[in-house]
Amino acid sequence: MENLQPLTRHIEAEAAREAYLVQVSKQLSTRLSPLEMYETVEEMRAHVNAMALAYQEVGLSPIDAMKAALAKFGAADSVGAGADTSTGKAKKFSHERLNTVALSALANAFSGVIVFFLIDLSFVATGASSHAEAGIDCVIGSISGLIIGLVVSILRLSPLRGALVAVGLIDALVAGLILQTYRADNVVHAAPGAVFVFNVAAFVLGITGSLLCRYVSNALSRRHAARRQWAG
Amino acid sequence: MSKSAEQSRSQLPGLILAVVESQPLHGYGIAREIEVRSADALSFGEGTLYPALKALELAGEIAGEWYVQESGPAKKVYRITDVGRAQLARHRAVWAEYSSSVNRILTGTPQTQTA
Repeated sequence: MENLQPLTRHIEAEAAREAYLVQVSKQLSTRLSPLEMYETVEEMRAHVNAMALAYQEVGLSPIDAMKAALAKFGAADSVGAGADTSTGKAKKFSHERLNTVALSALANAFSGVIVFFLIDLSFVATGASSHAEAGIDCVIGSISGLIIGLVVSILRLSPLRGALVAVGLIDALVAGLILQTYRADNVVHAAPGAVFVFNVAAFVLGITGSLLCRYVSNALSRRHAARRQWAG
Repeated sequence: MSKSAEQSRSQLPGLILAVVESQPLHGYGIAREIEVRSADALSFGEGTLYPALKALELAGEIAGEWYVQESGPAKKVYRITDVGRAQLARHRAVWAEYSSSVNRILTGTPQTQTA
């Protein structure tokens, strides 16, 4: 067991550093893009390691050296909050972010086509609709998917919030259309069944939009990191 | 935060530009260089360096590039750009004016008036 003590102390030091970096990441996540955050945390980790090593060279134990390094690095809250004052602008719309939003919105447009195609299939199977309407429904699906994807990825919403916002958007649209037909003195044919189906579709597209945004963002970060790893 | 640390932090962009002007450095190197050049007089939470570096990079005043080492983790090395050199010249001019103004007041030296 005594032989394991140096290893245990080393693991304790690394755990302390990672706990600190998690706190900093939480602060940075609302201010920087995933890639900017990843890079910044990598730089900070290397910096803290170098400081801890310097403290070990003057005789401190690994855990004491790490504690001293983290103390000199500054409180996690102030380091994270510094991103606000130093960058001047929170959540800067970087090139990577633009790519994430564009790719996830396009992917969600494709999800919209699939969702509306499945809805059409169920309508055709129950005799509520004909094949002739499938084309226009797929166009509506792709536009809905694109818009919902854009909103959800720009606002970085969680799947549940994305779904609720998407439902809200669709309901506002339906309400707007009903109001418009009233103003035009037309007879309103807002079939409750159709409104319900649109809400379900929006709910699904809100979830897919959020998940696709996360997937695309992570994939871009991984690709960038891998490219950097092989750059040398 | 101590007043010294607060003052150091407000001057951090200028200090970083001055340090990377002479040679490209990574974050840890910049912190050590500031420490050495100021003879340990300037203290700041070294973590605050990174948001400042990010801001300078976004402003195009420094350019960061990752280098993979044979041993150890990859390091992002920063070098000053032409925009950064121009900004550093402004920092120096502002500081020279500020410090001479404070100096005149503290030492009681009257300002020389030009006709």
